[in-house]
Amino acid sequence: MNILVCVKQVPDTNEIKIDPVTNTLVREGVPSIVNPFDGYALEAAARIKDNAPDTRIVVLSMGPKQAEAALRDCLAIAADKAYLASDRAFGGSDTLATSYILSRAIAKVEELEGVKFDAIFCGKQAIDGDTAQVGPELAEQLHYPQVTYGLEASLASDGLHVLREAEDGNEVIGVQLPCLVTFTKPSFDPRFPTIKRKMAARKAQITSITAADLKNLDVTRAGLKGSPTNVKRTFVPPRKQAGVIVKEQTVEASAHRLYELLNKAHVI
Amino acid sequence: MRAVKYGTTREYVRSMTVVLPDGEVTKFGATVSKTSSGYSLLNLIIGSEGTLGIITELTLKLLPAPQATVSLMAPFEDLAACISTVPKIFQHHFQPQALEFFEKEILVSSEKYLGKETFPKKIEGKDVGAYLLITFDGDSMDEVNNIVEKASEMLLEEGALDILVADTAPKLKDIWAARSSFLDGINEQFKLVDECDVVVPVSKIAPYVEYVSQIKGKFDFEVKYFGHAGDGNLHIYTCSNEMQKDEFRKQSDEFLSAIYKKSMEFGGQISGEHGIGFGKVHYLEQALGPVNIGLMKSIKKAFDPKQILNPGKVVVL
Repeated sequence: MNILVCVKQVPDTNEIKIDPVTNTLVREGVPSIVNPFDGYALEAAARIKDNAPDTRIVVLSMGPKQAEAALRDCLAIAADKAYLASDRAFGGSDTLATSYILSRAIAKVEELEGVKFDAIFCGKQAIDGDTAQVGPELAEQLHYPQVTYGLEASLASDGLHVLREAEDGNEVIGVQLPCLVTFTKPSFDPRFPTIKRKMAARKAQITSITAADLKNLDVTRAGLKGSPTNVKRTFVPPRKQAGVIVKEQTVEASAHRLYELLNKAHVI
Repeated sequence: MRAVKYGTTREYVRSMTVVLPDGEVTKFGATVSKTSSGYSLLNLIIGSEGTLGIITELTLKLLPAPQATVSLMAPFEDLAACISTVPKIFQHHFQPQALEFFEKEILVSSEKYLGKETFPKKIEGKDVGAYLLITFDGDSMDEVNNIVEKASEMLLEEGALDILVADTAPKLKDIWAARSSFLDGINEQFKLVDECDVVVPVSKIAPYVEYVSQIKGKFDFEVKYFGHAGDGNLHIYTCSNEMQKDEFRKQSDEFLSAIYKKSMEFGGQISGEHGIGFGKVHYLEQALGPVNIGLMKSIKKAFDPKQILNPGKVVVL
């Protein structure tokens, strides 16, 4: 089985710096990590490989040169090969442009690897943008069936069985290959990298993919130009204060207590 | 945990204000980097457990925090292989910040307490018996990675089944959470628990642990232990659910006396961290002998002739 895991390097903080002119993220000077949800996607792929050792796991990221560090972390944990789609033309892409570029980059990786990926795994969302759009949009670009909020995936005779988080419990969804699955936080932690993998990852060759490498890339659909999303303003939302639950012995007493509180707050 | 590289808090205390039992307020030590000015009353107060005076102000030496930290988890087939590696880590000058050892059994109860499995129990078909948990720190990730690679090579040669690396904040948190919950795991599992924190020279950890595991069979309680392998400080627990309290107390006393005696034979001390208090007064008398205990009593008399501070602790007049 061939699995491609899409990963994003994200700042390791909730206080993200924003470029006031372009309204995009300033990544310099902020410690970077692999987006945790992408780490869960990688772990899900690694668990499939535990049971089917001939599985090949390839990771792909789109981002600046320093995103190589995140790819090396993935190589140290479970990935067999890493690709970085990096080009000025990709900068400032919104989720639509990103999913478009990724779909073209996946075609290029498939050409270089000489295989067609059976499954594309993504994190459900990145902790910086928090949109949860790139995975589903990528599935649309590729015309693949998709399963979102995956917790675990296992290989079955008819495709993948994905345990997914639902509103009122978990459910198992069977999906035909090729498919795209986005993953959320499972009950277990992703594995630790081993020193041997870590050392190999430090020396590993990461293949770079530029806009020029992508066949039939419509540059008007990439980067800031190809991004219909217009960020008007970015800000840190104020923290909400904890609410008050009024629960007295009787409904009547609760109503009285609520009246007291509202009256005291001069709301009524 | 970090005493292996940085020493204990004692080494960072520069000066202190102390209220003596007669009400005098005095200052010991000074904010200088060295001193050769008479007896060190400062060091006499540190570790005196409130029996000589009450500290009201402390001046500590500070160090800049290290820029990079990496922890390694090294699983071994058994405890003997695990512990015999410890002196070699120092012989190679790897300078770990922390170095802990523990057996699978205590890890399992701690993971059960946390409700989360972090450590592998089987590697390439081999059952893991014991683990070393090692932290290295330094000024840059490159510097730490170089040490980590060399240390890992040595550990693998010495029989580590694999080396797992924690170099991100969440992984460091996970890897140390299980270690930090050993005592919680024990307390949750057993009704009767007693403990000691003997310290022996690092080179004697292996024979000492062997001695403890030999004699534990003579007693009705279970014995669990783990330790700061880097400084020879071992936490040894007697635990039982079935024994009667009096019988547990009696057997625990016998067991602890034996292992304290052994620690002194090996050139160790009866407490590395926890101190003497009430509980270990008679063990301290046995361990230090009449000459040293006599001197300690004289010191207590000189500071606190009326015995108003923590009477009955450390030394009894």
